[in-house]
Amino acid sequence: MKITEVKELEQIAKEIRIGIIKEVYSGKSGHPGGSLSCTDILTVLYFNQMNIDSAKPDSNARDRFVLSKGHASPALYSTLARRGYFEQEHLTTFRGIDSILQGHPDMKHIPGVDMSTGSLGQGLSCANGMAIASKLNKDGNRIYCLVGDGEIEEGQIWEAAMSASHYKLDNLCVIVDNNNLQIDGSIEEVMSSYPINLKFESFGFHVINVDGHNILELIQAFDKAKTIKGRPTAIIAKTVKGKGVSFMENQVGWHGKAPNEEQYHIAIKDLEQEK
Amino acid sequence: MASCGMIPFVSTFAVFAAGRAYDQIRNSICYPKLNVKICATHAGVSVGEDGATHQMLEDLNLMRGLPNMTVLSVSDDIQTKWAIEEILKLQGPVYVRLGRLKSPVIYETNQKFEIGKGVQIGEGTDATVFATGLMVSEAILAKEELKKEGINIRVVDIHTIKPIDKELIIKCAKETGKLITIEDHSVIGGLGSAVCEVLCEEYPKKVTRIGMKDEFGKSGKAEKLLEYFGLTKETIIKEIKEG
Repeated sequence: MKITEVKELEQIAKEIRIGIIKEVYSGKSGHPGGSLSCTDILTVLYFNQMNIDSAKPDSNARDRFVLSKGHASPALYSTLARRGYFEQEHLTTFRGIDSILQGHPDMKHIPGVDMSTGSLGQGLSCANGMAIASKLNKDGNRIYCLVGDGEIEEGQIWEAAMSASHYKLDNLCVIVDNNNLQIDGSIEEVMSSYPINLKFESFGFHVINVDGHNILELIQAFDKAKTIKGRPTAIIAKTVKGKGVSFMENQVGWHGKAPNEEQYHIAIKDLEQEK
Repeated sequence: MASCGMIPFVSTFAVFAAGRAYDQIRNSICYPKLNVKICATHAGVSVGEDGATHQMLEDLNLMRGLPNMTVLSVSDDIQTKWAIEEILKLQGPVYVRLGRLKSPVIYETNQKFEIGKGVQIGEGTDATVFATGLMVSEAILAKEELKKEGINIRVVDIHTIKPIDKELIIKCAKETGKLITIEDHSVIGGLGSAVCEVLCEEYPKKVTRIGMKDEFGKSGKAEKLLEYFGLTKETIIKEIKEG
């Protein structure tokens, strides 16, 4: 399944966002802000770019995705459900005691989750391992890893960046969800990771800057990344935290909080009306 | 790599393997039960001259507490070779604790081991010394010296710290007098604790734990350090005779 129509992808992204709000509202807990900011990236990956088959979630040569910013699990789960890995009904069980949908991604119990994540800073190292394995096995698949702009303040990210470049992992593509906010405030206030593009460049990455909500730009960036040989690619995606929900956009308070009933209805309305 | 069906064997000093990488082992290896084999070297105070920063005394404690983790602590060359081959067959994370010192060969090449089954050496009933790693050969020396004085003890090589051999521990507690544990590791959370956990639930009996007593190591020749911290056959003999 490869969807190339931008309009169609935008529609899917909208549905995924509604799923995110349903998850966080039902679970009365979770991280809506950073889930809404990376939704368009996930949409393009799962519906346009990645070579995957939801009927064979464990096939060896599949492309893989590591959600290093594991707290954006609502976005990943909503995407996987929309892509057919499991029933949509699971979304409203998010974070519940009987749910498969753990607070943070759990590869043992959730079909389609390629790596368990949640302790920030580790996902890129795992993605490196997958990219090395892919080269050793000559699988020819690609590995994608989404990191947060706050997450990359973690030292392990840069050890992994150094290593990705050292091993010339051109089958690896890192995407930075640059929504400019982290749990305690703006990136500049807390611990600036800027300039992100220059950092990745100096670590040996091919860097592409994009508007992380522009489907076409994202497709072009991922297509371009596939042509880069001898080094990994980093796509720096400028995004808006809480994208699509009026009262959540660019509000640090919506990093890890669930909407109440009134807010839930406003959020759904906002998303349904979004063009 | 493990998530792609490969079996990574990773190795570094125990202080870094279990200490620095604890969060990574917990969340990225044990939680997803990935097939990663961690072979940690330079464990214990017997590292010697490098001193406290490099002498890992808490790794059994840290690794034993992790769900899905199997923990081995081997005592000689023969057992090490067996362990490395054996863990290949095991699906899931494994931590193998290895020392730095040259250690005496205890076993014959045809000796059979089994993960989760301790090795009982001798049938003595005066005491049992549960030992692991480098301390097994020390315990055997103690056993031989005590024999000359008519004191018959047995040594149990606990090469698998987790899952621990409950059956053998209870059997020895029932059959023998004094119970002693010895390890080149803190007395908190390692072999001594594991043996006590079994006994206090199944067959309560006094246990004397020999090991590092909630303290850091220091620089010095390995043999001198083992002597300094009492990780020797002399301590075992003293505990059995006077303790």
